[in-house]
Amino acid sequence: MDRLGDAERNLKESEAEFSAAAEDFVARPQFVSLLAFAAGNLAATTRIATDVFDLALRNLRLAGRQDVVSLAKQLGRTEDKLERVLQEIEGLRAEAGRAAAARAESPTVERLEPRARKSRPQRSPDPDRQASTE
Amino acid sequence: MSRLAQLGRAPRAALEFTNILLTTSDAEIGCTPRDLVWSHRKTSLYRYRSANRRHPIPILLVFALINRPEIFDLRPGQSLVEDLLAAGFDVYLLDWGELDEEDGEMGLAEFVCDELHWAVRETLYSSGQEELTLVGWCIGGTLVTMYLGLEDEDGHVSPVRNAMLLTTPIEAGGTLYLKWVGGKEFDVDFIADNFTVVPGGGIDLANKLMKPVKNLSTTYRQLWEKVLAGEADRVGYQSMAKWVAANPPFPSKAFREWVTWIYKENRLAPGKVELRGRRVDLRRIDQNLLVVTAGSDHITPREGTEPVLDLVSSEDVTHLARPGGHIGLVAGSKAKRELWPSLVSWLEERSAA
Repeated sequence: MDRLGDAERNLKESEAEFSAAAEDFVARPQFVSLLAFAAGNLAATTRIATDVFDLALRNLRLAGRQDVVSLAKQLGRTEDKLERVLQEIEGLRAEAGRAAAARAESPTVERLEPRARKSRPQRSPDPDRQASTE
Repeated sequence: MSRLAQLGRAPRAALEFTNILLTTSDAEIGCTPRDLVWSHRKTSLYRYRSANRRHPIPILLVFALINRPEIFDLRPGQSLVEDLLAAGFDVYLLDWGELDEEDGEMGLAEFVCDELHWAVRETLYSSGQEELTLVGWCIGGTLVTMYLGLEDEDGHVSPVRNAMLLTTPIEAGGTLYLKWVGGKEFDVDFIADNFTVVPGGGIDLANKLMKPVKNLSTTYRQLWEKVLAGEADRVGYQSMAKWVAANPPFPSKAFREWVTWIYKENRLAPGKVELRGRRVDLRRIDQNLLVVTAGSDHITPREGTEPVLDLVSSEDVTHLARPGGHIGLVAGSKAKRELWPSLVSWLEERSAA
């Protein structure tokens, strides 16, 4: 008789039964209340502990976690502004690119109007030369 | 193996078992080469370049806030990112980063309207394309859903052509979380007021307590049996165990909104979520949509993931209802041959220029 094999099978069966019972237990209202209380207590004690520790550090004129977090938040706000500036620049660059592309594709090329020449003092006409006029 | 042989092997197996557990943190996950293309605060956007790109539409992967996104790229040979690259897609990954106390005031609006929106923009800019595919998994899928359902700003046309939602909670129905945090006993405001960030370890413990014996005992018992039999997959176990153990903190504002909107008030499905004054209406979603639901998912059961199918306006909707767990279906050992080919095939049909 394989007693070790039997023991293994019994162990697995027990584990399966215990597993089902545990899953049933964690779904019960009593456990739900327990979990809610435990979570709330943990949040409260963590807050108290960290606040006391930070207060102690502050009284010693040492930088605590709150100070580091405060600096990190300022850094975050600066990064937010930088991101928005970069987005504006990208947007303007894209607009400029579209405008340039539209100009290049335009079928009608505008002729530059010749600039009016400044009037020159009248000279006696030279019969040997033919003046060219525009 | 005979009992005597097992007995003889036991001391060595004990050492090997202990070694596997103690060296889990050394496992390498998320190994596929990538470039950082954009970052803002703790958020990073990475690009994985395909050596054989055949599809112009890039893919942006978005995971949950409460675990690391390396699940998309778990290890060489078991990586959805690798499969997508091999299929000819350029892949982008949005990494929310290791959030901490200074990020406590980031709510879901910041993640959807800022980080995700800007990541979409940067993906298009980096890839040179005008459209992309958004893939959201778990809470990442919910954030993607909110993004797609947001009221338009200035009549902008959405650049998202395809959306893929993997085990994505839209409602809280059928999950144990509804009992735990949906009732009056769980004072989410008190928790959020006193924790600037909810500890990741606490959320991980809560997840494990949903199936306490399986998660806290059976997993180790099964590993021991495999080690004793000389069949342990060290790399497979360690990569998944390392990922499971990596739980970033959950910013308290986002935590408060998540618990209240999804579990206490069920706001998302009826269209009662507002982000910065813009309503989220799932009927605005008209992208090609693939919804993957898992039959043994106790974290986001089908009761909570299927409703999206009836709420969207998309004409092209595909539902893959497969057996499996919340993570195992998409990243487990069978996913590579049972699910990923379907995902790739669906994407290939909808990613032409």
